Amino acid sequence: MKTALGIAALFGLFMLALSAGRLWLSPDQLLVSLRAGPEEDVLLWHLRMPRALAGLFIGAGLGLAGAVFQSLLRNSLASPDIIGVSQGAALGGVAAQLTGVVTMLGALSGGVLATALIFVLSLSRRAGLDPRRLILYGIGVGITCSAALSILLIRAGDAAAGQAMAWLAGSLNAMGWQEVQIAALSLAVGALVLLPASHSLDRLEFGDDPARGWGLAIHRLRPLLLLSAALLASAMVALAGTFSFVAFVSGPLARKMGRGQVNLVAAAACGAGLVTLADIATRIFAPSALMPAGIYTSLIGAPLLVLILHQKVTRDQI
Amino acid sequence: MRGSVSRSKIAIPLQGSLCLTALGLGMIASLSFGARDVPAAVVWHALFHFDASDPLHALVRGLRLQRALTAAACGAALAIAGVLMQSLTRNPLADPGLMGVNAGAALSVVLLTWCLGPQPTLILTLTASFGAGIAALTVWLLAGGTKSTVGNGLSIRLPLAGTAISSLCLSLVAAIVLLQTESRELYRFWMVGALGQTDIETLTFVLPFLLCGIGLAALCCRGLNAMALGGNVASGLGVHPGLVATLALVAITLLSGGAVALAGPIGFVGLVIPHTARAISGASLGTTLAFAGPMGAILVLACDTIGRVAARPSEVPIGLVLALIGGPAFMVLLSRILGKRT
Repeated sequence: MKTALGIAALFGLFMLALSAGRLWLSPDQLLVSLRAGPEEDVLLWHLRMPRALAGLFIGAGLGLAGAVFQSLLRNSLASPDIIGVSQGAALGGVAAQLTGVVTMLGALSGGVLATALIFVLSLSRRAGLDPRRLILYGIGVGITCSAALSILLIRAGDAAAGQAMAWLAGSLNAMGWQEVQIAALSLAVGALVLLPASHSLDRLEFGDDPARGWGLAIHRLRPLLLLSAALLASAMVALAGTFSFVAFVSGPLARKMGRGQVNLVAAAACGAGLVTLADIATRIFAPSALMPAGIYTSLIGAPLLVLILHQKVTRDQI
Repeated sequence: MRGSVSRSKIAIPLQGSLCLTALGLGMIASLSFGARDVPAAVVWHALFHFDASDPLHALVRGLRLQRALTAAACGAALAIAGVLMQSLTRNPLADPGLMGVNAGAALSVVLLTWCLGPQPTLILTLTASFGAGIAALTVWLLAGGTKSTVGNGLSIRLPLAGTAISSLCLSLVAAIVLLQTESRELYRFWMVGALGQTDIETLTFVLPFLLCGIGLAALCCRGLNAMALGGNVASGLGVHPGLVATLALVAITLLSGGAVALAGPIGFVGLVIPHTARAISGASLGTTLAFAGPMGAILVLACDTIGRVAARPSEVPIGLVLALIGGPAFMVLLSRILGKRT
């Protein structure tokens, strides 16, 4: 029942994303345009369709990565956009933009480097990869990356800084079919690695010792899953900038809807819904075309976060 | 053990005078270095034998002096607020920047200016303090309030909730600034702290707030010391924990709100300085507070001078210099704290 409702809601949002904008399409017009095919209808097939699809995939990727992080680190506040991965990707992306390298490449390597740095710093000989240390060092790495990013932005010229800032906030304005392909591919690879692990994730939440008792190879599993989730999040940031709070809120939201177990698919769906909703909001309410959708995700996400934290859905031991 | 105590008793006056000397040197350095260097002798003359016809004297007496004083006031206020925060939350990682105070102040000021247009300093300062207080309270409550200090006291939730609230406030600030595209300057000022546009009126206006905050800090010092021993012990000593916590919160709000009104959001002073001060002064909160003030002033003065010298003839804002130093410092501190606890 809940699954059906979720699918229906997501489908409705997708349709709304196709029809909303400066030129509204009524349901009949939408049907006609959908039938007409790519050659006939430029607006739908070359502008709105890739944008809506990219929003879905990017949101799903962020939500999935966030849920994996939160469940691996056993803390509902520990999503990639809080503990430094997104900041690393943002730093890499802006550095690449300013030096003329492909943004995608810069952001991906930035995210991976930040994750690697967090790993190296938080590895201790006694405790292995301890979640607490990982979170704290992640915050440190995030702060450092943000500082370096601000310096880059202030040293850059006004035009370049403006462009970089629009990308940073997260926006679907520049999405074409090529971006959709990249997003779909990243999401597919990420889902292939992460979804089969959902059972192990469930068990890991009971703590390291019980999980070991079940025969899980934690010392290999945790780095592997974290790295894949970090890669997924970085790829999405590389495509469309940081949509803050999407990765952060999706996991707890999915948990509220599901039965309190790791529900990765639900988290991905929540992320997809959030980004699509934010994009629709920019197109309807935006006073200027420059307003990035990422700002709406934080407007939607922040109250949700406070609500979630307040209701103590979090089962953090720490 | 007793040996170390008595040694520190002898050492504290010595260290105190060293600290004050360093503060004086920092002031002189801040007055003499910059886009145009002024020799220390000229600085001395400008301060004590002022000659209005000399442009260098006017530079030192005018722009540089008010900037140095503002920097010192900011640093002292942030450091003292940091000591209070760490003592109140019993979390060694508490810091006005990490606890979202700075971002909250920035958000409230930008929000006010956006809704009601430019405002006089009085209103801005009060609003900044108000926003700072709200943000700190939100973070503290999200982190579990008084419950956040159970166990060995190192709550991860506090820095996590602080980061979340900060990033929320800052993205709202970014949204508002994107709505009014002409206010790039405002954005730059309220995103990273800067001392470039200080004026003496703001300083004289904010100073009473800061002094009030310092006075309150001194007042609740004994109570906080007692509370460090546990709630029951504190009650037994005649300390009312709720009253002390409220006083401390008011002091924190006044101090960090005032600092934000002076220079925008500056982080890490309140994180790094308390630890350094405690390393010098030992466990007593009073001595730590006394040391933290001048040390914070020295840190901000030094970073401001570095920022002005590093990118001549323009400058790197103080908030950025501190963030660049502060990020790694946070991690060094972290590894020491974690190393001690495992």
